[in-house]
Amino acid sequence: MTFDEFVTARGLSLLRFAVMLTGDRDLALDVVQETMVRAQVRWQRISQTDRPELYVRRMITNEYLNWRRGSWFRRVLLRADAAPPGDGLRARVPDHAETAAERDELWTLLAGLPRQQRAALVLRYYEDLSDQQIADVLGCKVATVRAYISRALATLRESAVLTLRPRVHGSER
Amino acid sequence: MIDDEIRAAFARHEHLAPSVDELRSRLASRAAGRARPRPLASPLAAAAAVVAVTAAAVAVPALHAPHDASRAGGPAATAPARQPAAPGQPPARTFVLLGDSNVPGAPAQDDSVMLLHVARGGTRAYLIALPPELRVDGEGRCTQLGCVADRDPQAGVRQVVRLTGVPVDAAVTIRLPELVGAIDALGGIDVEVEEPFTSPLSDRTFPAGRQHLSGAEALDYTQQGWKPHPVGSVERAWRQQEVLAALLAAAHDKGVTADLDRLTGLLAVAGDGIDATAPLSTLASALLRYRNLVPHDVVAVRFPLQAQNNSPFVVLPGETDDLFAAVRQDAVPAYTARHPELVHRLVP
Repeated sequence: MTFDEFVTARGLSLLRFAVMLTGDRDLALDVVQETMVRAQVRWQRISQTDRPELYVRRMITNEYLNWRRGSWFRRVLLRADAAPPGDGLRARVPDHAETAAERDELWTLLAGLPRQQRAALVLRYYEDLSDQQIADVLGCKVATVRAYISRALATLRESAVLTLRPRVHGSER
Repeated sequence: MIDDEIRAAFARHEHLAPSVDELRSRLASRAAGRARPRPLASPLAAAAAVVAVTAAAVAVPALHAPHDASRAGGPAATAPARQPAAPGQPPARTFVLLGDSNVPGAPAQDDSVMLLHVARGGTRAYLIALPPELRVDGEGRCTQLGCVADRDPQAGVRQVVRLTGVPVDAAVTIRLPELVGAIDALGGIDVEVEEPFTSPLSDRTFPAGRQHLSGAEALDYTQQGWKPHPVGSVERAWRQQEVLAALLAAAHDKGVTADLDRLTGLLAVAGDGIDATAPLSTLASALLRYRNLVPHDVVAVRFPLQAQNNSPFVVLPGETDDLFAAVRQDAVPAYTARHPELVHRLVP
């Protein structure tokens, strides 16, 4: 499979994966773009692996986890940073430009998780990977993966959005 | 079950994914850029740093801070929301800029706090400085906005939202000392000094009128007021606005082009060890989105402030309610048309 054929066949799937990681359309496009630029350079080697797509997804995950910030600005505060869950600031000005998706509270809470925790959730619940596979992607131990997921689920449970619904304990895998 | 809810949340947002055609277009642009060797002259690299200051503020689109109109006597919470942008048109965005002029060894100063509103269409932008001496509550020992923003920028942004009722898309702290090298590489910047003054930090004299400043002089210019101001230190934010706009103008004059690949490369060079990873292309992408915004169209809106006798706090005048409502509704051009006396052009 050539690089172009790979982009055609799997591009949308990779972009969706990046949206799940970043929570943002534009950032997802940036992450995939940067990853694919590097993947193109070494495509001959990647294409010879057992599962090129898995390899590229690992690159995308690393790209997402390794973002760095420039020295001209030291802090970029996103919505989740500015309004930690439970601080009573979730009431928002109605904005007709927003889509229903943007109003999704659980989506907002996911965006507020630390990157490793969010990545672990995406790999488990969107990619359906096992803990061992997630550990391989994240480059950590299985126990660390379980800790990431456990903390993430605890954070989500504590949020208001989940207390509105019947609580089911012991539901995580 | 929480597992199902998470899966459902992911599934509901698959539609946010960009199209493969967009990805192909980006990749083609990068490939074309690599095919054309482009030396990165240092002034252009420095210009990119300037651009990044603006771009950083627009690098996180479609994120909205919450609104809490708890400000006593504050803006009407029922103001209509801004209209969506037309297809292909940059939407209206509002950002909080926290200006940090502190340098080691000098007396510490609180961060300046500004709103940057880019009107729908991306061709006009408005800078509104909030006095650091605005009173805030519930932030521990800090009772002034500048103090809160300096110690905890996240809390500072929350207070800005509370005070103004303006939903904020993102916030950025700009370290002005980091821009000294960029200003020098550009050959300096031009600012209009309104009143002559001598800097107590450097004994440098700034005559009135148009002055050409080096990087160190520009930093000095942003670090203090030209005289004890009756309503606090808001003029430090005004000066930071002038320097940032002048810097943007100089970068614009140097001809930083709207080329994604070139900008990304320039950002990497100017970033002092930052390589061309996702954040840099994010900045470049954001800049491209607002490429029709020229420095001349970035203006400051300065409202008259009221001091309270023997009080360390400053009170916002009543007309600011209309201004903040105009920001919420993306109707600032109409507001400035009604109040031309409040408009301060930053770049002639």
